[in-house]
Amino acid sequence: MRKGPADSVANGAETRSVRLRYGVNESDSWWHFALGPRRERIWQLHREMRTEIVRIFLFDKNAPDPLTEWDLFRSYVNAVLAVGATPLVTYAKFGRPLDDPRAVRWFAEQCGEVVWHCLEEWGEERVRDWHWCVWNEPNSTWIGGGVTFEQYRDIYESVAHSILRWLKPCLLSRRAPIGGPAVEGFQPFWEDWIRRFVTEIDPELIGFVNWHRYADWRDHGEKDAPVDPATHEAMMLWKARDYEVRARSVARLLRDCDVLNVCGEWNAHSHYLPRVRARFNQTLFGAAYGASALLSLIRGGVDAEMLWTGTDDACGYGVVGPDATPTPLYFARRLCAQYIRYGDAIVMPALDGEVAGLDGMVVKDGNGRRSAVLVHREPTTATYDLSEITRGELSDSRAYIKVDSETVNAGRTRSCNGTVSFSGYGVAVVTNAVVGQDFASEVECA
Amino acid sequence: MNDLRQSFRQPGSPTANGTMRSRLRYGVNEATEWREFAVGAHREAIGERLRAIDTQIIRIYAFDRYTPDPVSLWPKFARYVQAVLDAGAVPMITFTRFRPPFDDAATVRWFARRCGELVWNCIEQWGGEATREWYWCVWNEPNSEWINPGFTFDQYRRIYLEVANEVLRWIGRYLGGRRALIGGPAIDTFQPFWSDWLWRFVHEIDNSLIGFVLWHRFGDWRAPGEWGAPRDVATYRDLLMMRTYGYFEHAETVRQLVDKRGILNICGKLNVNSHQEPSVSAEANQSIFGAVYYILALVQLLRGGADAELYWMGTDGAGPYGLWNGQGLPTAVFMAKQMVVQAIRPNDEILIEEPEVDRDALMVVRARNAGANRSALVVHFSECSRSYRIADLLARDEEYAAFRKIDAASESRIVTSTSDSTITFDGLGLATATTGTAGPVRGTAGDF
Repeated sequence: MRKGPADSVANGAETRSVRLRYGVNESDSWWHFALGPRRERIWQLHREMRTEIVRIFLFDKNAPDPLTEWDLFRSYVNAVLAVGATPLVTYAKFGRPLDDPRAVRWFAEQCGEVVWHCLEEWGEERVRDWHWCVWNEPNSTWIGGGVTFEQYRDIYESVAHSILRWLKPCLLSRRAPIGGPAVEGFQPFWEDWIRRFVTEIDPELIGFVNWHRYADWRDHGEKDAPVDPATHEAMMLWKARDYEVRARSVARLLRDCDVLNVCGEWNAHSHYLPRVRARFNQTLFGAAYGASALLSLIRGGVDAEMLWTGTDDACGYGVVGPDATPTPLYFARRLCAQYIRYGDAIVMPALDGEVAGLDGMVVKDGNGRRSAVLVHREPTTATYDLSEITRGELSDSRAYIKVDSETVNAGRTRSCNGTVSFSGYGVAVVTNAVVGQDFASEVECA
Repeated sequence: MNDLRQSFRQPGSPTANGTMRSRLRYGVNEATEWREFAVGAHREAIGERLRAIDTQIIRIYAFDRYTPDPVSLWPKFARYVQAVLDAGAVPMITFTRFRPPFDDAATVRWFARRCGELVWNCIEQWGGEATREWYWCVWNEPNSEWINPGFTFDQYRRIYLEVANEVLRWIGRYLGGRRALIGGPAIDTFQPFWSDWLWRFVHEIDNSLIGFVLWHRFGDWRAPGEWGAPRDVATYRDLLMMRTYGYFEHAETVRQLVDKRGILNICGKLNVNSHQEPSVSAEANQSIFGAVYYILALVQLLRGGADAELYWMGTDGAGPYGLWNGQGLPTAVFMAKQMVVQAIRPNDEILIEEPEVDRDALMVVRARNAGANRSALVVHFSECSRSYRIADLLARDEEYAAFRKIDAASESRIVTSTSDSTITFDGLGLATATTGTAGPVRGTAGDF
């Protein structure tokens, strides 16, 4: 990952360059991703989603122990490489006393050892492009163990030095690809961690900051959440704009630092029961929320995002099942990744006024492709006049591809007649040049 | 008030030349020390203070522990209201709360009737023409687990609707087609999911019953070292100052919800620290640190398109929040606000800049009013002492007549100079510069 391209203003219209790299987490269901019988199909689905970074875990999430189960860990990493992505290895936590310097040193040594083994196994040329994240949600007592920032800082510096002991010779002039603090975004004062991270730690040891965000963790009616599902969902969809707000907030904190801004974990819902969160994350609602979140992250100028999660065996989060069955969010995510690529230009503002119920983005690439990515954020049926909502930006559109309840949770390509219709929550792309042919197609590719 | 509402709706969006028009009205809360404010020996001096900081809205409280009961102690409550009017402001009367059970229909009805009776009393005493300009806020921090544990939005909505209809029953005939200035929910933004309350408030309640939304924001509630806050005071203060940006984020979030609905966006309570120990909160709130924090918060509220801000609070005896004590003796925060209200007035065209020099320590706001008088506000939010060439900060060809400054060294007074080519901040501070005749807004309070 490198810092993204610059924005520009020309002829009075603001044009921003997309700097987002797409990624996912592969965590609790890593075995299916790495070794399962449908792994090759899963990797193909990842490639179709243009997954460039895969966040993997060590020392938590049932991940293989890299010291005693190296073969399994090798498979885990090889799966990432088979996708064509680079790993972001997260040293999630340790179980010894956090204040004990010997425990910190032991942990740092273990982390350094992993880097050394990786260099031995995959070579400098590859490993120097990987990323290393220290701890997971240290500000959350539930997940990260309730670490104080002072404890975290000591751990981070020890681990970073231990990583760099092996990695530094092959980095040449590159910045250390190490980061943290992977803060949990529900906690109050979460920004304090980012601010202290970039002001109290040697900048030579920081390559990226990682922050996490979900819209909610409550079921309908739980802890004062709306009892009415439609109200709860509408409120959550409105809150997808928080990704842009947070991205800008983090960017402001990083202002003078050459550090990447990474949303390392996100999804719609993180309820403690899989069946509850699956209702939000793995449905057409989840697809609309996810696409809207991606648009917000792109508008906010984030350098990389990592959905929680890729492969999912009954955890209620992922976009691909162990049998490689995709969820609606897979298709939505794939549409975004295919039509909003790194370096593309996005036109601001995208849509004419605020069309009720619709979020969207107009995107141009360097080869004449013009597309609009549209997210229908209401459960009702609606039809939109394309030239009205895009101010005529897409007058030569030939095709539209959409995911909604009509397409039976799959993408479908149709010729464009100047209007876009949605049957409930959905995501669509209207374009003058279709990418690939792997959705069921009723038009020829440009 | 008509022109106030008109101007509320027009400004806020950026103009063609990259500036924006300030829509921010200044205000305060007068709560626990209402006696000093309304009937105390120094009430006239306090009124002068309020005018000196261009106070247009004063939020007062009914049905609260500290304030006179408008039913059984009407004469006292009337003096509380009259003190607001004497200061040249309009009251925002908060119907603070009633005791549980909140689900009991008879209790809700009884509370709404009491609110309606208060409105009727006000109309009787001050007339419908005056009273229709006032604000009526339903409840205080209903989402706070501390103040209203277990209170739900569904309960709040029911109470709001009953009270709003009861207020309209009396005030409606005087409105002449305007929307009544009834609002809520006065939410505590430390709570998770605070924005849910605002979303539901504007989506689940008939918007003709909502004149404004109110939200509260403090920088912190912890002392250094408590609940994960840094022990090191310098770090703690740095983080607090950083959080002033949150006023922009909150104001913008709320603006996106309410702007097109014709609902005002009001930060109804703000200050630095709400810690329960006055020794902790006073040091943060009433010092030059508190002054600079507040002024940065004001600038962020301007940027975010807030319609009004109500500082917590005006008069505070020996308490940790006030702009002055019971005798009207001002804090550094009062003096800073006085400088700001003279430099940036409602409807001014403003430009907020981070100067090339020392942008991690400085913020510059330029303002121009309809008469083409120009002002500049320079906020220095670093604890280090630094000098700047005025030409570097205010590079444009504008001849400022005088500079006024307050900083850590001059904490008890504002320093005025007319000839310096440099400005020196001894730690945290702010300075204003004006062309032409920009002077005190109302009242006559000058330098201290």
